[in-house]
Amino acid sequence: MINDKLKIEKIMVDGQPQLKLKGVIDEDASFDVIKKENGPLYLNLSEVTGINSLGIRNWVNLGKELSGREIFYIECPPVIVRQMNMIPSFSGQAKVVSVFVPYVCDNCETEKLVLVGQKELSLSSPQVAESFSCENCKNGEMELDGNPKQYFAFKK
Amino acid sequence: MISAKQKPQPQTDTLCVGLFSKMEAALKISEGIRHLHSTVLGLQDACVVNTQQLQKGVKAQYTWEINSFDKLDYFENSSDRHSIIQNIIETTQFGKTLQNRNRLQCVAEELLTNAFYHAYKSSQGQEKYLRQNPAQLTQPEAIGIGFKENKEGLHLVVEDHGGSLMFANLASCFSRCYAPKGQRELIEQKGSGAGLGLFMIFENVTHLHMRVSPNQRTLISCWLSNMSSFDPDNFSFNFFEESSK
Repeated sequence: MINDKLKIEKIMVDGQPQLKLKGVIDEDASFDVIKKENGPLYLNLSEVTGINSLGIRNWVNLGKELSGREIFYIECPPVIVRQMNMIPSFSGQAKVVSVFVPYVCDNCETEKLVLVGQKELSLSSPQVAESFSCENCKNGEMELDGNPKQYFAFKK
Repeated sequence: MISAKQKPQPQTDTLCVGLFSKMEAALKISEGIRHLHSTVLGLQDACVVNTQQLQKGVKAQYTWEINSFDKLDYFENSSDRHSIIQNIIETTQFGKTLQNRNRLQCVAEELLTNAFYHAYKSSQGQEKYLRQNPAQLTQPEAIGIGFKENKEGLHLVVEDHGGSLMFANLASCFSRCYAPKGQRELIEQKGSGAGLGLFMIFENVTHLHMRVSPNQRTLISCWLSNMSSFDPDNFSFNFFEESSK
């Protein structure tokens, strides 16, 4: 895992204050910035690049510390979606607002992350495109990298 | 469902072959099964045949073990693991796609941190190196790593010379990690050694082969399938304990 120390910064997105996490969630990650916030927590996870087992443990324990607070996970990258699928308590009481779904071109291997939001996630089985034309090479099909049912298993 | 209090049964070399989910497999491992193959081919599966040969003492490698165990690079500083993993990503086709890359990072990170921080014990039997600090190993302790890929996936090998991995601990880890939801929370509070890393490895690999010479060497060999050829019903787990020479 790239040695990319976790940073948390406050951003505004369409007038909504969010805490954007950047880097790796591991044993060294500090969540003090999150703990100091009042009110609902909008955690933008789009730039989390990795998480190890101690990071998962610390994240789950953070969730317990924040028990009773409204927490929203925004723009979850595949590395986070994977943990939500593997470990039920990873997302705890948080509401998943949006996730990135990975696609890869079968011709030029270009990768693309497509954001899936609340409208799709509100369905018990989110409907996402299994493929679409590649904008890069124009010849290939961007295919969902993985099984849709498995990718959205956290919804159950 | 697995009870977190369930203790593994005494060692058994029974070869368990069938179609299982990872959770079902973990249940059997927590009950003491050291060799399990989930395969539609049954006893005809080449990996099953390899296991039977290895159980008889025949020197064999699984068909997916395409990297020789003799071709490993050795590292002494735990901080090197980041560049090791980055090197694998940058020098393989496997590492080019995001899902493959995420699984590789996850598995390699957990294998290497387990090797650097849990393989070696002090004279009092405690962890010699603590995760709070980078571990600087001395030469005999250097961690070996090797990898090789083909179009189906990537073979990853990690070796240490501590030989401290015990099947009982591993079985206990699976018992905790696959426990019912309320009991699974126990691992989230536990300190170092909760076993969550082993659980993550098992979940992300297709084949997992562990070979331990107690107090001498642990070799962990695993296969990560390309997402395109990933088959959730086809996986294996094998734990061999070799007597000291």
